[in-house]
Amino acid sequence: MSGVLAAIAVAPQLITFGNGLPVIVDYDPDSPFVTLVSLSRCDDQSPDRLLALEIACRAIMRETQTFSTQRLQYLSWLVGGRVEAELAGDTVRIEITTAPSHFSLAATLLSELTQRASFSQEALAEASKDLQKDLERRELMPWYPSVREFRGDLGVGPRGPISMRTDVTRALWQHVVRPDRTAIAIVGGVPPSDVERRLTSSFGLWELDPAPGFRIPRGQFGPNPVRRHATVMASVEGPPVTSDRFAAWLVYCGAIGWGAGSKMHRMIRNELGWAYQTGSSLSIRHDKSHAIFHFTFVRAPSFGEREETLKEMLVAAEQSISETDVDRAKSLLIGQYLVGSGGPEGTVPFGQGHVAVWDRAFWLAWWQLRGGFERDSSFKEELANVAHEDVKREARLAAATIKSKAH
Amino acid sequence: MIAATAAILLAIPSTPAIHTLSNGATVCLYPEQNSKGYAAQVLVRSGSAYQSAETDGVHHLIEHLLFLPGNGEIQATAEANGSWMNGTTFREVSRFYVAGPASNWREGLNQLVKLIVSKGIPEDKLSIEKRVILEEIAIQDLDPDSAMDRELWSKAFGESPWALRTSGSSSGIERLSFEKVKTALNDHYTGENIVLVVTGSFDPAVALQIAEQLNDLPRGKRMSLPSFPDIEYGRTAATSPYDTERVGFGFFAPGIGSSNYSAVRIAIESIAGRYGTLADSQLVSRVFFGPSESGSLLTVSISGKKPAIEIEKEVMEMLRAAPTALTQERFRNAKAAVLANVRATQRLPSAIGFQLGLGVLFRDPHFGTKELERVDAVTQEEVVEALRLFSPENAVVLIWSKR
Repeated sequence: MSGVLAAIAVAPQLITFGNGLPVIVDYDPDSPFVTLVSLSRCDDQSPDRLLALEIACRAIMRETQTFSTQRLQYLSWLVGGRVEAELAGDTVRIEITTAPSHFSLAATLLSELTQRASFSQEALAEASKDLQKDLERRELMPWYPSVREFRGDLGVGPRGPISMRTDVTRALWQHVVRPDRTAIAIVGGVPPSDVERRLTSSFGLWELDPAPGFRIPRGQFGPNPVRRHATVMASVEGPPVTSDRFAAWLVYCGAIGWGAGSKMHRMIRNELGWAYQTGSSLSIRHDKSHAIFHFTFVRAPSFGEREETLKEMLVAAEQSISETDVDRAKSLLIGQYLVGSGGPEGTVPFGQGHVAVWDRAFWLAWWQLRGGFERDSSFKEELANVAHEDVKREARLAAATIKSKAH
Repeated sequence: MIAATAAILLAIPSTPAIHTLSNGATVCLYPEQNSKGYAAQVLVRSGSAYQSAETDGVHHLIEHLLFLPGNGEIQATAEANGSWMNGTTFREVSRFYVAGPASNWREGLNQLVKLIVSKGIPEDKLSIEKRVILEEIAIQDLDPDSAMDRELWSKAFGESPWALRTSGSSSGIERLSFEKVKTALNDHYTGENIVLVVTGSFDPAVALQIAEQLNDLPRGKRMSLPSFPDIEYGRTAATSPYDTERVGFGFFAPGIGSSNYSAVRIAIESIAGRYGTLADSQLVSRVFFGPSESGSLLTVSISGKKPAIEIEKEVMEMLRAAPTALTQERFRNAKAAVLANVRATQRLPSAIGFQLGLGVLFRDPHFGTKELERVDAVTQEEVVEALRLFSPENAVVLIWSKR
């Protein structure tokens, strides 16, 4: 059976429109679904711009310059399936998954959302409130607001004023969501010829207009949720994803903080009994990558000693990471890369697998923005080829960049 | 579109093969060779409802301790094989699972079976793991929805074991001795109380060979859940222990079983949409199966910008009107939402496997595998009947106001 499937499998094809917009099509004739995903990179944007984009994504389904709220919702209803927009780590992600028969409608909707979103003042205000509520409702993941805030402190995650203006949001959107910063991937039951025919008149004509100047207004920062827990965090830096060193750095992160067999989990939870929740969180920026390792607790009176312990563990990692640690991290990362199912931080790289059409579409577009979608299929080999010495080197380099925070 | 999708998805699965080992353990194999992943899970007839005040928290503690030999060696080995492994304790079942890429199923299944058969719980880790669980409990206490859910169970079931907290109470965990842990482990982790389910891409013949290692467990005695006591219906108002006002409803609906579960799901979905409109609120609902097909409990926690007492009034009015207010359009939308949810579940070997395991425990091996078909077949009249089960008169209501 798998031989038959292999025989009819077609490699993803790249279509590039005159405006430079890449569209990758991975045709799967057996799929009952098709996913259209648009990713626009924002890995070079400042924390206040990232927050503004996060709010914009939440406001996007309200109306466009062509469609009223009612018409837009009707179009969305006609498309069926699922329609999502989010700030997904280092990208603005808009995804539509539907039946292949509804592809044309879905393409219309995606074109509207990417190119003609209105961002009315009312929609932005609602989206801000919605975001605030969402952050306050993370009680079972108390580490999340803390890590998010630390990421903002480091300049690699959203942070800033919670109220946004229509004109500023539109200008920012036009600055980020544009053909030369965007990749579109279409995976599922629609052949490349149909994709090209349908998208030429919408995405092919997407103009590279210069974005008007704008400045994110100074304003009131969102209130921090009341904290009844403590989170200890330490960040390290790593190479950008385009670097030859990236896979080794990722394995280093896995050895330290991913999974129950990680050094942090075994030490902080199994040996010391300090915390129930331990974890790590990545930010993949255009010039470098960042990892935050963290654990959360409620019952201890202070965290000074615990912060030092985490830092000491990271400093000692070059010596303490064994070949077994490296092998475990490599296998876990490869397994996650194949069949992972995402996590609490949304659709972010190295949390997603490749099982569903929407997973595959995400990865094709994501890699296209980082030098070419072809790396999607070769990245497993990159991970598999990482040597123990490579990881020790990354541990040494990372140790020189440690920043920590506890509250 | 929905019908077409259902037809495609339903064409894939076959009927699960169910084997009973010589010690009474059940093995359910449900291969789907086109899947990129696999999942294996062991469900054990254990959980907080099997406990007493003296053993409060013991099954949660066992779940944690089983992973600890060799500083978490079994989990680490599963991860070194590209899979991930974990466990959860519920009221009526404890669940241990491993999942990963299809190529790694054999080693993952081996590790899971080893976890259960070895029954290795290290005494020297008892106090450390109690600390970890106390942290877990403290984090749960930060969450008002979880707290409301616990309060509703407590109000409805009083002194019954069904009211015990799934994670255990802090004092219960602190009191537990290693002897009590060993006794519960030996009573519940036996052939008669174990169901192993393997889903996704794997070789059934080899999987059965690996599963036969479970025969190393003694047959033991099949554990039974306690009966539901009489429910104490009624309405209680209290000062909110959290920043927000909140209303909780616990519906004990004796008519819910696997035969009408699909209609109930659509009924809940149709109500859920209405809650959002009425109260500008957050709704969290959980459906729970009882000791037999005789009953289930749905607990709902609602918070919103309005005072809790107003939300309660609106919801009560809406519930009374729900059976007659179910328009064809609302029925269709709710059904479509449930179908989408079922479709999403069916692509995940771990989710479908858990449902299959529950189905075996509830004597309904098609629970899960036939869900898409069953939901698709539900009529509007059946949903109206299901809505009648959620009568305000049959609810335990808890109101948390700020003053």
